[in-house]
Amino acid sequence: MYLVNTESIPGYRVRQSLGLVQGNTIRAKHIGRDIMAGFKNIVGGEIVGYTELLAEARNEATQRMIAQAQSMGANAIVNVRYSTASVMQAAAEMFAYGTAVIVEPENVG
Amino acid sequence: MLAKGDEAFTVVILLLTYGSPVVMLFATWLIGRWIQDRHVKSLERREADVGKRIIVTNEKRLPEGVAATQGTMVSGSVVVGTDYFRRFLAAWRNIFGGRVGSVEPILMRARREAILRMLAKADAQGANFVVNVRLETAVVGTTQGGNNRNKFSMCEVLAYGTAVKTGYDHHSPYGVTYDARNDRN
Repeated sequence: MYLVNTESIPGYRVRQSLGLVQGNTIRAKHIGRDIMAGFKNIVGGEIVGYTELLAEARNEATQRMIAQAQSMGANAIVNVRYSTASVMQAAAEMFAYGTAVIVEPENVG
Repeated sequence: MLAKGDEAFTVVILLLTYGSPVVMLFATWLIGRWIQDRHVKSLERREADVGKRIIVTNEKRLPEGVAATQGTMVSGSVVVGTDYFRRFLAAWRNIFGGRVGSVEPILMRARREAILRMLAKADAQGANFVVNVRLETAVVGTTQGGNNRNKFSMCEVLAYGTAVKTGYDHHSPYGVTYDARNDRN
């Protein structure tokens, strides 16, 4: 499965477009991480626990999107976009979407 | 951004939380500035290093005449919070309005960090171009509990783009490295 956020994949030609695929996940922070983050917010800087949490969540949303594309018979997703929204006070939604396509290598020469 | 040794600072600051707010402001101002200086130095060093190998652009396509064989998506993210001193200044600004200059560098540093993390992944793949770069900033939620003054929100910055490997040579005066295979026809 090729994943790009450009309209086409270099060296490949889009044979068929299968339509929009998407995947999302909503993750809540847990209180232990919240307390640690509270300490970190006194001195400032990166909150490593949350960086990891959100990266994991984004990965899961991507995996769900890939699963949907695979069920459609696609071998690539182009024009992938990510979006993040704070849906509740302590939870964030990760959303990934793109266009599932079937690509084939371009004939060289 | 924060090394492991910084946990000690957190403990010291924690003790100060219950001490005088003035001490607290002064201490977080010093530590915040120290962290920022160190981070900016690290950013500059890494940017100069990776800049030799990778060109970053938010254009959708590669420059004319540059051919690539394949592309993969790369991303980097970072969650940041502000320190006590900067929040104090920001709260002050909230009364009179205007530019919140104390918080601006935090987001700019986070953005540079996110881009560098994305580039590190592209570098590991041997890519020399990252095209169609998108940057996104989102508030990921405030902490629960505490009174209003101690509440804070955190920001996530995400950078993502498509890493491509090309025959383009950043150091060649001709741009593209000479490849005998191009003369086949």
